[in-house]
Amino acid sequence: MTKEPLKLIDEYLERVKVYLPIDSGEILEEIRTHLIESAEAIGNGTMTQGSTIMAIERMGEPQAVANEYAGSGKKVGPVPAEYAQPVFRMLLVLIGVCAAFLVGAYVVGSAFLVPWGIIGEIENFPASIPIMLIVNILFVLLIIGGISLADRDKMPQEKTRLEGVFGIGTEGFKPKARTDAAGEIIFGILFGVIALHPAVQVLYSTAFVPFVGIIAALVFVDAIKGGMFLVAGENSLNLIIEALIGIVWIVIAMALINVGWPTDYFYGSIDGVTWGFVDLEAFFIDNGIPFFPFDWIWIFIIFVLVVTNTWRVIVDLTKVAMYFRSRRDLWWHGDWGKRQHAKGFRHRLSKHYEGRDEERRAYEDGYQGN
Amino acid sequence: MSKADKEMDRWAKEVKRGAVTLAILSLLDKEPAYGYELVKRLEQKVSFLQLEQGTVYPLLRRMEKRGLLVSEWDYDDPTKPKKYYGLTSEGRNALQMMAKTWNILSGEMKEITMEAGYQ
Repeated sequence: MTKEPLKLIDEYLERVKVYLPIDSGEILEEIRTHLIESAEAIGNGTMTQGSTIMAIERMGEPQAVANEYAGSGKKVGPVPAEYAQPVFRMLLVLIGVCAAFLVGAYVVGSAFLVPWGIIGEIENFPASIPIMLIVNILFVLLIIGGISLADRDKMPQEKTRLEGVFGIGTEGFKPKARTDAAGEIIFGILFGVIALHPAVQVLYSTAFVPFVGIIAALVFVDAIKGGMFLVAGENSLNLIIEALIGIVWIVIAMALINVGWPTDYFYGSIDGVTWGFVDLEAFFIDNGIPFFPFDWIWIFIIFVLVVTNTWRVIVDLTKVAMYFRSRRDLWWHGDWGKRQHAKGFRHRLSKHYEGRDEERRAYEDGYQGN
Repeated sequence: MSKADKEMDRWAKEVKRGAVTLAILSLLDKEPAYGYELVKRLEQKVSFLQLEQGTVYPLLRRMEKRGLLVSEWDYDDPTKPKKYYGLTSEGRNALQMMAKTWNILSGEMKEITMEAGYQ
């Protein structure tokens, strides 16, 4: 299979990026220029697939190159040494988020929800979330060990499966796509309307009712934020608003985890003919089902809500700091979609090479052309 | 690999570690250069160093952090933005002292190895 030289370089840089600190754009740009010039020199002034592969091989393994920059050196641990840094980073964030959330949820529960009579006692503490986290981490480590075996024979410029997993984090740094922004508007309004609809309101548990208005307001604000991204793309003001919404979601989650599953009833058939309210808990007891799973499902939903919003807040604030460092204002018409800059960069370079396709095929390094 | 080869490897690494900083400072004292240019000049002028290409850039970055170098991006060719490195006054002072020491050392080492019968 043949690939464009610049695609090969981009794939290699994606691999290097996995092991670098988040704010490493300049480093990657410097390596990119080096690889282009090196590939041109090897190809006697023309960048070919073969010369690009050779340039990449000369640069070295992505892990080693990134480690030289990050200065981390070799690592020892339960995961392959080169993956220690991203894994460690992920674990630290997860543990930090979990610990902060547990403390926050306990404080919110004991300081507000119990005294105000919203809940009778604090539930789900102290073990359920840490247990879930530990189980998930064990799974992650087992999966890493397993799939790293399948990565052994990959070429230096090819992305490994593990790097694909760790690349999820860097993917999140791309500007929000227009379709995502439109989705936020549509689903925000939809969820808000459904949450406030009288036919749904009657299903809520007593403890959950005080939060319905707050949640509906928040999803409407989220829809407005989606509109701002749709109109102006990514800029500091939009990112700050998104981060603030994320923080509010996390705080609300601290209360919600104490409240438990939000509905007491569901619509169902009462006697096989008539439809009406069915008591959720009574349904399980009447049918002899000993395990009531909804509180566990609720914990999982809250866990996902907190992790995704925390990630969002981290990404947004990191970007805002980067924009401030580059002396940008709060508001401007920014980018949308996936890797606008990289595509533009590649497009410009492709134009630069326009008319040199014939030349490109005239290399002598034994590799197949485009 | 013989013990002598291994010892040579170890020794060469130690010498290179110190020499590469001096080589970079000397090359940049003549004129500013961007990473790739500098890598090529190092390959041409000091073949002994035989640096991995990926190690030169982090080294430049560390020297910049230590205040020996200053850098500036050149976007004249937007397809290949280049980060040019040059010496700061501190870098120039350091180069002066390092070059002086290196010359004394190499002179003395030459003398001592010649006395031992090696050229």
